[in-house]
Amino acid sequence: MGLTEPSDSEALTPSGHGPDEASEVRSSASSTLMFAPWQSAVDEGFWHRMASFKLETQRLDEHPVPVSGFFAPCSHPQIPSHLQLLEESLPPDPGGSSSTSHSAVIGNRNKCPAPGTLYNTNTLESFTGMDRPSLLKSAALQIWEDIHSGKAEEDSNVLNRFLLISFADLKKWSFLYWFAFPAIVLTPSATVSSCTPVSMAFSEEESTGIRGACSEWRSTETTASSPFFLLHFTSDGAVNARPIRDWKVANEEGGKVISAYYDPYNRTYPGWPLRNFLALAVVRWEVTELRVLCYREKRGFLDPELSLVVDVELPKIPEWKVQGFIPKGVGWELNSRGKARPRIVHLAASMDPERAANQAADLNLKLMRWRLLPSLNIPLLSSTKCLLLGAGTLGCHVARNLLPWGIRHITFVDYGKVAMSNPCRQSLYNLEDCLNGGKPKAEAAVASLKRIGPVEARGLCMSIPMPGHSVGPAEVDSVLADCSRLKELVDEHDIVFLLTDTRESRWLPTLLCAAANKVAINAALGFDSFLVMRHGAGPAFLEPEISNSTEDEISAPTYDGRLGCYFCNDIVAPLDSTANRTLDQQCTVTRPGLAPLGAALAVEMAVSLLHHPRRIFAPAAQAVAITDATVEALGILPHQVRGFLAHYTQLVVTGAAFDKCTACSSIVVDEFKKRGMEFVLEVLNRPNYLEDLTGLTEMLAATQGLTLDWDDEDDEM
Amino acid sequence: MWDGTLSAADFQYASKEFMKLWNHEECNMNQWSWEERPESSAQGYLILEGVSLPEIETPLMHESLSMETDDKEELFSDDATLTDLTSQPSRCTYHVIYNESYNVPTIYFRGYHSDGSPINWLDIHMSLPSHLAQQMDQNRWTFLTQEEHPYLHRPWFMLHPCGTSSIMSLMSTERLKQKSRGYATPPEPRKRGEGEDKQAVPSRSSDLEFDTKLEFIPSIREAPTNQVGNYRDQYLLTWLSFVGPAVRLPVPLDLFKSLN
Ligand SMILES: [Zn+2]
Repeated sequence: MGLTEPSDSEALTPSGHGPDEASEVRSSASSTLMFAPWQSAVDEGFWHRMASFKLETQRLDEHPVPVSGFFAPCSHPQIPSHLQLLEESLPPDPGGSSSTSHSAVIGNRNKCPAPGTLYNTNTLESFTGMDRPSLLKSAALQIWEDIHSGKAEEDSNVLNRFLLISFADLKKWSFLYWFAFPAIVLTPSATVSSCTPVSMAFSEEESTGIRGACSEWRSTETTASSPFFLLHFTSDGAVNARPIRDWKVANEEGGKVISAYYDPYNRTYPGWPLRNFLALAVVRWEVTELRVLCYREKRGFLDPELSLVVDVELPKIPEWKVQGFIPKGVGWELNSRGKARPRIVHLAASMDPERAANQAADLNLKLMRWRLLPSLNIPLLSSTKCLLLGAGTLGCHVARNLLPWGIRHITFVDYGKVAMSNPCRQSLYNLEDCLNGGKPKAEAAVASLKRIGPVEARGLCMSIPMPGHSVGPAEVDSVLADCSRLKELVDEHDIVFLLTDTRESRWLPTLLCAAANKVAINAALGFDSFLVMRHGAGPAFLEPEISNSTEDEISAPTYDGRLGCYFCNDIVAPLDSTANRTLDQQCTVTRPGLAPLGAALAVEMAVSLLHHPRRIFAPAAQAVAITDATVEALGILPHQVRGFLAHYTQLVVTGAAFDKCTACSSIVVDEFKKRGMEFVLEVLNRPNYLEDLTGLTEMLAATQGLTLDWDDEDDEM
Repeated sequence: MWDGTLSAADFQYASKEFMKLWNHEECNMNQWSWEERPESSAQGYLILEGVSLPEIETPLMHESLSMETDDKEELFSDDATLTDLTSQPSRCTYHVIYNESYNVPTIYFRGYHSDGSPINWLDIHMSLPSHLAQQMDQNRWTFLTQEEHPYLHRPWFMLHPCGTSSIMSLMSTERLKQKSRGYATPPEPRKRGEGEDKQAVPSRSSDLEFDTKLEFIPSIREAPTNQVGNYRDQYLLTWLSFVGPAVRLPVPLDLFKSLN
């Protein structure tokens, strides 16, 4: 099986799988018996448990904590068995986490417990400053005492005592740790006179007996988790597995006694646990020769090829008999690169709740992409920055609908505070937000959104300057500041949603979008009808050549001229629409179902537009019969959708840009580009300025005042 | 026609059958075990631990800590310490858990590099050559994601189960067809609007992929025709033969022979 053994002369017999490989039996006298160090493996569950243990139980306490490691005999020729730390290695959560239904420390055949001590430090400095030599020394001494007192013969697990020092950086979710598997050093070393696979060391009959005895030991609940045991070959030919405390009794009964232990290592050397066992044999049994079976498994039974039989010659060590002798210990673990350094593990990917939420939120999108929309551009969506002007009924619903599409950057602009009447309709707020005069909406919306899911949200409490709301000299500076801030915001974002509750507050954002060629999505509500539209490209912008303009099939005929904005339909300039209204008219009274419908459509339209290769220049698709399938992944991309709740009907409408538009025509945009905020100020202050500028006044004079407002018109029905 | 799902009791039964089959096979694979979970409708789930992943290399961790120690060598090794340890492969644990929403088994898995750091499958997936990654994205049974383990409550990687029942259903249909015609036929195109042809192309190519797989899986040709009682016995093995390769879990083809 491709074992590559060290080629040095110390190499022992390979435990190969072919008979040829196994034929070489080591015979040269007395060379040092080498042990393969134990290797640690820490399950993520342990670190999860440790994080909560540290936060809830241990806190700043640095006292050592008992932990249980678990191991099993090696069961794979390619992989040694590790000493594992699992979630249940630490004391159970006092709160009673449901995930640890196994009670701690009770081992089983595949989870033989090893007692350990954890020193978790509060700082990196105290971690690095730990006195590792003396920790090792005292652990070795404890093993030494357990050997002398006879405790180790009663509970052989204590021979596998281990140490763990750690530092948990719970901000970065990284864990620094270092294991030690203390082994008592025999000086001089034990030597080996023979090391062969079990299949070579015993007759077939003996092998069968051994297999049966080991199997019984391994499957009996009371013995399965005792890693050291004896095999007694009785004079009548039976083989019995017995606890190590029976050493003397079994020897007196006659026959032959060999030792056995669960060996974690997989190659032709015994594994580390044998070391302390040999110390026990020297101290307690005072033997100079010991035959040891390194028990390894295949499919739950002794693997006669993988398991080794080692004949060990033990030294006589006179100093060990001296009262108060302190043995030497060895066994700090090297890191995975063989360096005398701690190990480190970074678990932010699985432990950081924010990252987990992000991933979970993306899951549905990924599913959607994979099942229905292979062209869904998740990275595009997650990097698109959305500016929501207005955090009222529409703003709340739009934000909530952006999240499931994987939009991760949302900025709210709103001047208002959350009022008692809001939470019912405005889905991001609750009654608490209304207390003490109400929280600023922009702020409350951000907080609420962040509680829902992963998002980078920002809120600005500012008003949007409006034509017809004239600006007094005292306010000029602050209004100009608002204008500039709004311009910056438009420039910083990819999509601007116009969701305010008045028509005139949409004028400046519309102009800014037209001037910057930004995508603007507009949603407006009547009592039982709504309009959702995307504004066309700015007047001065030419569409860049699309390099590989594949003539894609499309579902519907389109209008490919410049598309209009919200104001293109109007032949009056936006004015103070609240000025002449009574109070109940100022409140936007609409059927409650309207805002969610309109907001949802606005978001769907924005996402469709993002996926259109021509983006803001995308032509307006005309309606197609619903019996005709659409070719595009997300269906057609219309210019406007008008919904009529009373009729349970929606219409797809196209409107060309109007050359006298007060917001998006080249006259207005050019003037703005020329004069900047000074122009804006003039518009705010002079009611008829825009109409004069665009020539609307002239036109109106010619046609005698038709006032068309979209929600009044029904001619398109 | 069978819809490709299993009841919780069927899953429990299928698991026991599957373990009998796998765990007695003379091969070098690790053994599946059954983790009792009386609180779940299926009473537990399947576990396979310690599968080595030799082809996944441990990334060279940046030494994020330049901690110099003056520890003497004798703390780490003595003349009886074997120092020439060959590097160990990465290893992986698989859990097969019954999914109560989809009524199918779901594979959860988690791997560690030899240094104990967890394997990030998404990274591995990202580093696949694009055509392979694309294939994995488009194949219904290989949609890789990370979700909370239903019993351990920690994020594990898993293959999303939403395509499982249809592939299993298709398998049994194919089996019947083959039995009657003697050769494999491509699965029927997905029933979608005509106009959607364009979008359907990638999915269709994954179906073709599926089709070629049919040729290679002996159960299709050799297993007895699906008598309805039989699907439970072979369910897990057949299913694993699809999902296994996507999660680096080799399924010994010999197992299929013993089905006959
Ligand atoms: Zn316009």
